Amino acid sequence: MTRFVIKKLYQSIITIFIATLLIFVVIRLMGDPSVVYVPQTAEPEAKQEFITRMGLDKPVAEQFVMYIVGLLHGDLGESFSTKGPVSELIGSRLPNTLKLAGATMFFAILLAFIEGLLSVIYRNKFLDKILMLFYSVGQSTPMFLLMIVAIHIFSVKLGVLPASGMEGISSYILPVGISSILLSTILAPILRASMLDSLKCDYVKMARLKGVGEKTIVVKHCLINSIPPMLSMISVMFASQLTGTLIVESIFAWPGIGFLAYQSIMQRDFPAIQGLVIVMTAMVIIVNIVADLIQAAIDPRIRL
Amino acid sequence: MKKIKFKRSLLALILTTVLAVSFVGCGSKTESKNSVSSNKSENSKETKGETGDVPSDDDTVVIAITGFNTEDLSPISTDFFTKDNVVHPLFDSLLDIDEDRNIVPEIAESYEVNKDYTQITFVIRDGVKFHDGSDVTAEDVKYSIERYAKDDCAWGSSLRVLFDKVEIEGDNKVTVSFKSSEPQIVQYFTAHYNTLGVVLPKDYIEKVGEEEFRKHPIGTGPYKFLESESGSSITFEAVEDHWRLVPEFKFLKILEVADGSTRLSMLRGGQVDLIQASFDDLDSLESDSNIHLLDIKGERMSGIYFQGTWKDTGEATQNVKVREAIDYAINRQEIADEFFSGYAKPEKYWKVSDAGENWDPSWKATEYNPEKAKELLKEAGYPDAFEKPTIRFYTQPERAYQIKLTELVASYLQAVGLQVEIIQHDTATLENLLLVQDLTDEAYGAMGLQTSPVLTSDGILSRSQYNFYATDGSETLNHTDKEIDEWYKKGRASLDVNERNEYDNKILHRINDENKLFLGLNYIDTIWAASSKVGDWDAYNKPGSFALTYSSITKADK
Repeated sequence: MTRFVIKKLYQSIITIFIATLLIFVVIRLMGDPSVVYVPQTAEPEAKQEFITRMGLDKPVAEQFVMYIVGLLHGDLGESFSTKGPVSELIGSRLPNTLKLAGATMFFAILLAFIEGLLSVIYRNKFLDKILMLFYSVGQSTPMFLLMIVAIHIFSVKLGVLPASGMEGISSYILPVGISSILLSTILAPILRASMLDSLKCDYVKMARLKGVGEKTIVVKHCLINSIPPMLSMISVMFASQLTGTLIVESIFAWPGIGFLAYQSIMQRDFPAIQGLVIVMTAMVIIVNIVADLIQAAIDPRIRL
Repeated sequence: MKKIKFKRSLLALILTTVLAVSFVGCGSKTESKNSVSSNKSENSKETKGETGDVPSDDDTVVIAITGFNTEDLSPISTDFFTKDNVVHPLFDSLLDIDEDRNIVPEIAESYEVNKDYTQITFVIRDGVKFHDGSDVTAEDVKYSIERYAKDDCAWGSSLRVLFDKVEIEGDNKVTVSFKSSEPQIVQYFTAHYNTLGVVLPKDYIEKVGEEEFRKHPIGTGPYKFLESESGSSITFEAVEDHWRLVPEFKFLKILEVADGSTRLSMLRGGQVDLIQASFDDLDSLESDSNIHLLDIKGERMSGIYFQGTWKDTGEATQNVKVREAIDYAINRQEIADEFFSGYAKPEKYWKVSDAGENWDPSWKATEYNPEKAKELLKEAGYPDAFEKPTIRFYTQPERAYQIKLTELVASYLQAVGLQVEIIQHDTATLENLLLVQDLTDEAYGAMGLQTSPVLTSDGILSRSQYNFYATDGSETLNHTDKEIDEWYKKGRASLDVNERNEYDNKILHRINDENKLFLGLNYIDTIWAASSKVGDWDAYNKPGSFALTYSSITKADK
């Protein structure tokens, strides 16, 4: 276990360093940020003053070293846009994304288990066929389209749910509901396939011979053994939810880090972009580590 | 066995932690708010105004806009143009502009300019207060102007070049001195031309610091800051004893909603009261009995510019006949009637309003004449005479209709035989590419379409416009016409209005009519869609700015 932790820590530091370096260089290829922050009609000296004040006139290598030194002191820099600490800016938005992603994944997993179990218990019957069709439709439907239609139906026509914002539980229903339903259509077939494989195993045959009921076999034996393959997909999905919520956040005006990333890119807010990449990389790493630990906890054959 | 038990316990712990983190504070507001004061009771999460009132539906007007652009609410660090409408409710200025484009006193009850335009003296009005109840004094005005003149205030750079000193005389007279004549000295302190007239609270800023002021600003406007949620909303409360205007809505809430269809749904669903309408949605909005439209006339202008035309790199637009052909090929009236549904009119000159004193009524927009366009192209030898006959036509997606308008204009050009390639970039990329002195190969011969605020025709001689029109301006069109520089020099040095207007017109005609570097397309109205709660809105086009003032939104008659 200790070796696992040390190894993961070492890998994490390397990953974050490489991601930081890459984004540091790439965003400086986007062009001069002073066109956003210095009015077009300002004197030429104003532009130079901005560049000097933000340290952008120094060589990129020197800027990077200064940034890393700041990072080691816990300083993510000052946002060009808010003029405040990047850590504060991200800190104000990150919980919103965590709530959205967490709720979405919770319901996606719950729905996936329900759909998957029903698919297996009633395999090859009418319900299974309906669910398979549901999975196909869900996987091929663009999420943003469904969201816009849902807003039109529930917010405009019926007036029962808010179209945007984060005021109260009702504001979670549309973004979380639609995202989790669509995600479940990806998870459920994986669970179904894994459980169907488990049903062919010798221990299942033994259980049947012992007279154990089919539903008990499915739930008690197959389901547990089908979780590890699902877990890999869940960790990828969760990481993707944490880092890729731009569309949901834009449509529902959800003030999270996904939309903040988009705004920061459009506004050439270099420090904010860098800070976001570091935070998102760290979140993905944490999710993967947690997934590994859960895998090891569930499957005694896995040694960390 | 112990190992398995440990692993299962670890699993339980990890799952519990993950679920707890995911749902922490679910249903409660995030701790991202900045409030002027702790106006929430311990058991209540409701926002309360400083008077103790909770914003009710009747008392609150909710506006959804595309974005705040910045979360910095201080006039020191960013300018009003960048912030669009968000900051205007908070701050009044020394001078303002009325509907007839006259400069009128605001915080200054009067002003006087000396004969050689090197000094302006303001008499500060009695009874103007900051939102914390303190009086606006001459000291605050002096402090503000000196602050804007400092190096780190990008918006104050035009002031910094000329600024000499500020002196106080008596209790309420402030004299600002410039190092040299500036005939447009008044505009420096007029809202919408500039932010430099916004009066800052000296004592408050010295007490709390500028960083705190950015988050919790106080000003002199009809609305005061109540709270903001990062990336989400800003709420204001009306100043009940404001000297100039007491808003009818006690609370103003501005929401940041990036997606246009969501804003529309929110208006239809009753979540918001006012949104800027897209021209595509006008028909459906007009047929909705719960919504009415407010038309802000001629609030912005669309135009075309050509870059890198003075160097011959084989580009089609480097020939003036091709540019002239483009001018004739565009059907401006059809664009106004069909594309903008009648909420636009053809314009002659981009960025120049027909409402300025210097405007000549005989200046009419170029008539649509595709045959003339084809003739000009033939004279120019297009396409064979050009190494690169395909014209790169740049546009930006920031304004919803801009891309469609570009496509429409491109279709007019293609109809007369021009080869056009449309390229989209965001504003910052475009400005880095096209509006700089050191052009790359891609920029030479490029054509761009932009929408901008309106200037008066006598605004061309301003320092800010120099950057576009002069050969050494920072946003230059990279032309090499030194005569234009001479006219600028003479025009800006002159203290005679007629002489200035003469140079103004010379520059205008040279750039637009002779060299066709700018082509005006349309003056465009801005249409706002309002719920039945909202009455009239006394908003009008203010030159040089997209900003409108929300303070004058009225309630509908019951």
